Amino acid sequence: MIDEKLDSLFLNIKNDCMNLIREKDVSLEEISFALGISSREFISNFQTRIKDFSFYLETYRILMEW
Amino acid sequence: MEPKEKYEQLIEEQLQELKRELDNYRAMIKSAEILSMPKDDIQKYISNLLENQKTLLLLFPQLTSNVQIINFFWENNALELEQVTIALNNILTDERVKDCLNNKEKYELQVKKLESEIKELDEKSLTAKASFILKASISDEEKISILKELAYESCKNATTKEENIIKEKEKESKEIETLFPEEVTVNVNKEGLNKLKEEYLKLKDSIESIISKYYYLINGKDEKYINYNREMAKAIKAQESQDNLNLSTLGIDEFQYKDISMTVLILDMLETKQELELQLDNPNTTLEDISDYFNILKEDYNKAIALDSILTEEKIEEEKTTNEIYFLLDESNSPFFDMDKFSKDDKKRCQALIEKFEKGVHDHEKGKKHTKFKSNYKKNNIYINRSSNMCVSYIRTKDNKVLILTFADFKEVFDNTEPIALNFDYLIDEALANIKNNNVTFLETQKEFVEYFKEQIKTKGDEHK
Repeated sequence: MIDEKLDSLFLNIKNDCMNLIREKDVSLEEISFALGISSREFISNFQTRIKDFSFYLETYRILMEW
Repeated sequence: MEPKEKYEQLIEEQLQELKRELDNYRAMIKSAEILSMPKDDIQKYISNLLENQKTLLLLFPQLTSNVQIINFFWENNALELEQVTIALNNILTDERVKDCLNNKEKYELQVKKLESEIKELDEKSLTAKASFILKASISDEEKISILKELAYESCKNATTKEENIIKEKEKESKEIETLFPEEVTVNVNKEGLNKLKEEYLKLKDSIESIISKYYYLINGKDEKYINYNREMAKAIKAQESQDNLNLSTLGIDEFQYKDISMTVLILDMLETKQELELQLDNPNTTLEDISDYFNILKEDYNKAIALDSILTEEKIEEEKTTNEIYFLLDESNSPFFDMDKFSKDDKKRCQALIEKFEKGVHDHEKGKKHTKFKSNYKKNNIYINRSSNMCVSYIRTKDNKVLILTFADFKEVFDNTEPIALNFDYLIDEALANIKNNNVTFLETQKEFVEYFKEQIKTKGDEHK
């Protein structure tokens, strides 16, 4: 049940992040760098949901401030 | 093993080798075809590229991150973004990819040649056999023994084949120098001009000295950085002219404000100085033009001197926190980065990063986003300093000493740092202990390496420094 909710939340936040990346034309490499990870890890974290959900919230926060 | 058996084994190995080579050339041709497809329908182009990414990445693993970026935006229906075009451009301008695209025809010839070699070996034609035996890594006695056997089996005449060698045409590019017609007119005010020249010559050394003192601010910096400084300087001037300077609204601190101001002054002075010197040599220029340039240069120089005295005072304060720099070296005293791969610009940025340490500047203290390494490695905080696209990852001791882990492009710094932090933590511990205890051998090795490093990252043009 929690997993389903998190999956749905993940999809929502992923879409929001994508829209922000699109609107602000944020470089994938720069946002990964700002998060302190490689772009490879960033892409992988957005392809499959990772356990640490705070990663998505942090991405969203940084993108909002971009 | 009998010579004949050995020969059969060698020929089989050779066949496999040729087939591998053939597959490689075919993959190159396939890649060149994928990449040189028309891009009118970008959707189709990228779809094709992604379908064949396995072939591409096997040949060009260095393209992985760019292909991943394209894949990411493809999956998220955002191909219109400029960074997709940039990633695609990065792929197409990669040196090895360019080679592949330019040499497609050559590869096709190679394929034909290899196919025929394989066919000959497969059919075991006498010519191919003889030629192979002569080249094989077996003893002369064995070669003679096999050749005798072959001669005995057949008495057909061997024919020789000549390889066609394709020579690439050398492209010569010649720079066209634009020559301005020189119209010699007598300068009306020679006396005034000479006076101005004298005045300039008196000031020239001081101007050059201040330029070289702060040259590091622009040395190795890209156009984006320079433009940012110029735009920021305009914004600062606009606020100053209204007596309303508020750095926080510009998103910079006091330190950045001074750096930006000095950067722009140095850039302006370099430009004006160059223009002034050109005008001084031009017999057609009026005294008025020259004195305009001279006055602008003098004005900027005075501003730079005033700012210099403020910065010098601050530097004396900063020197108290100047960082001692150490490098993480492996058991054979080699660093965890390859200086041979650094371009001239990379080297300049490495210099800038070292200067940043020497000035005691740490990005993480300036609240910049990209400064702390997040990974499973929790033993020590790993920080990142950045200059343009070049980054350095390092550990900072409590008494302001710096242990450099590696230098890398900002796109690769996390990927390159993580394995060092995780797999070589024993070396990090050892180095930190040696730094703490002032281990004599360690310090000597470091001294030697620092000298070597500084020599390696020196670039032409350092005479400005």
